Amino acid sequence: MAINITGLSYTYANRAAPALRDVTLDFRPGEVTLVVGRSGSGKTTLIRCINGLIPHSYKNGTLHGEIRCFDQSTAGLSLAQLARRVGTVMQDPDKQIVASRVLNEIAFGLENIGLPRERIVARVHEVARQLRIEHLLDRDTHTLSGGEQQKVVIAATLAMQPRALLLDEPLASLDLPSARTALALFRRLADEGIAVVLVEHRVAEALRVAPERCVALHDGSVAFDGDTAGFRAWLDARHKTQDDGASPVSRPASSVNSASLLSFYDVHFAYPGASGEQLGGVSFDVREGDVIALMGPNGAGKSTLCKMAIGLLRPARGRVIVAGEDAARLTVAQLARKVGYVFQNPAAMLFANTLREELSFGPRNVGMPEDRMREAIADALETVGLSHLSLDQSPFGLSFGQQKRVAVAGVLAMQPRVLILDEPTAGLDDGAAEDLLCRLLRAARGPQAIVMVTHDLALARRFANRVVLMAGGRIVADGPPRDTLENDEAMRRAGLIAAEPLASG
Amino acid sequence: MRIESFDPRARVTFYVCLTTAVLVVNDLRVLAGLALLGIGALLFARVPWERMKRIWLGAAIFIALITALNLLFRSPVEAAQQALRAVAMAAASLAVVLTFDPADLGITFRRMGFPDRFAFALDLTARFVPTLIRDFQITIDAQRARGYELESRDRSLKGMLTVGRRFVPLIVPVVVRAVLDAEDRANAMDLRAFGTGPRTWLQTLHLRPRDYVLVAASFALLAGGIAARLLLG
Repeated sequence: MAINITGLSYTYANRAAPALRDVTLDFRPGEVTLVVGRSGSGKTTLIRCINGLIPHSYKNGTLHGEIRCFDQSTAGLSLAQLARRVGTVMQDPDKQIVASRVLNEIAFGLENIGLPRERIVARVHEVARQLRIEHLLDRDTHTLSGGEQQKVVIAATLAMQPRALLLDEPLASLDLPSARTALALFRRLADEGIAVVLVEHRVAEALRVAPERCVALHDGSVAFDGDTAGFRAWLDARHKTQDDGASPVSRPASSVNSASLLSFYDVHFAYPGASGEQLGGVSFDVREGDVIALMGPNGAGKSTLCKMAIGLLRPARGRVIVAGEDAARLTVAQLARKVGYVFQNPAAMLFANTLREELSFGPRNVGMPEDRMREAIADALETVGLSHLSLDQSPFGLSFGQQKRVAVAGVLAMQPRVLILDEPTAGLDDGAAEDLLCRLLRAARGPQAIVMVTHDLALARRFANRVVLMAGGRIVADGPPRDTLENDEAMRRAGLIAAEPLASG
Repeated sequence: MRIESFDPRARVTFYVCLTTAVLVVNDLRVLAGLALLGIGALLFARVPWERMKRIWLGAAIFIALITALNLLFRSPVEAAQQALRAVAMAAASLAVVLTFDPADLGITFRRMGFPDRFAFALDLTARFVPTLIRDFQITIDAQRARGYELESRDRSLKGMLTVGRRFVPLIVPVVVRAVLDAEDRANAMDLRAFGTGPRTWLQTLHLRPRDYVLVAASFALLAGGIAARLLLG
């Protein structure tokens, strides 16, 4: 047995409810165990207990139960000793990279345990070869893409030669091709004898790794523990019980007769110093009633295109028309009255002491009268499902999911006609993401069109009435989901179908 | 030969000695010589003008401001002293900082006798400057997308204070994010056994004859500065 957990309970300091309740699990070498659960179900706490952050770094909580790691109780092991047995890859690779250069990053743990220099160099090159990232060794870490960062973090973890690998939502910042490459790598590592524990929100995607076991946590307890077939059956049964019988939340597709809210005409753009164009002649319309999933690999130009809509970037060539007006003649503030843009991470925008101040920031900037603003804020909070919160409350005391809803409400309160959501599901579990989108689509006084920049195929299938696929700065397909997502050639060009089978690694 | 070909410890020693001498010396002729030495180091560094023109613009405004204040409230000699000091320090700083490989920062200070933790803190600082700049740009974009405009046409003191207050929506998210992320980063370091014992540093540094010459010249420069202060006032 690689890791054996018996009767584990943990309560964080200053919290009344335990984060884990009497959890008993084991993880075996050569197996991938998929651990799922909604936000707050205890997944990350479980990882922290196994890797020793609890109790070494989180000292003031209350811990009961026992964890044995390769037949030795972790209670008697230091963090350094544990780090050589159990490697951890956390959710955001950018937050784990501590060195300026890839070579130094992979070497960091080995330097800390005082290995001789020659052995460090040999091991860094060995692991880089294993993960096929030798070409990255001399790169500055801040120039890496999300997928490259993920590989470097995994390499740095594997360099310590752990016998178990804990992966806390490793797919969260990856586009589909990178996510599938990462999953293939996890499978390969397990096949080589490592015990892989994969904690993931993107359940459908994670199941492609063919886990030997699946564990579902609910409210700190183990709700399911069994094989993949049993897990699928358990998931189906849960979906049936939770289905409230509401009609599918989708809007009818727009027609060519619908009013155009946002149009791009032959838009070209290149970042200063870049070798090629980021957008190479993009033309398309966002019409009233559209719920568009804008998809494609990282670097396809999706975010660049959306920033054009609100004037954060201006086309080098071509035109952007917003509600009948040329965007070139409007300031960002003027465009913000018509097009709302919600950034991926709510932490990028929350700043105020109270929700009232936070939510009135946008409307006030665009000169909305006070009485209309109060009404718009109430509507926005209702739409995102936070109307029960006090406006005097601080946004910083809310959970990540609630902060994300506040960020959406802050933009909705400006009453834009088009709402752009950059990765609306990032950091949210499936249930929370679906709930937010259902609410947006059902809102009577919501935006007239929604554009979602997303890597999530399930989201596109369920909510979008139009899918726009981008690759290499161009649109490669545009149409109803059933046509676009079945277009294998376009899907392959947009990196949404793996060019190689998952298990090949 | 380029400035980067010197060992980073020799370059840091030169920088510390030159700036200390600049702060010690009052004589205008010696200060002018030190300013020329700083500019010489910058020319030797061959930093492209494009890369430093904005920094020089900021430095020029600062130098003009302190010169004007000294002219108004002190004397022309003091104004010239401060201007020469600022030029020497700005030029030397750019010559050293803009040619320093961030990956060498930690090992340089470790080999100069500083503890592991201090040396690695410098490495971390170098690592996170680009991240902070990126986060700041994302926050600017996110707030502009909410109709935020920084510009204030009011040039009065009240107008300037208003502009100051208007930085809050930009500063707070970046600071809060940095503080929250610090916990994850500390955890990531703990999980790779940082601070649990003496560590190996992957990079190696080698002092060559030219480095010893630069270090000796730097100490001679400092000694000369102190002598100039004692002899010339």
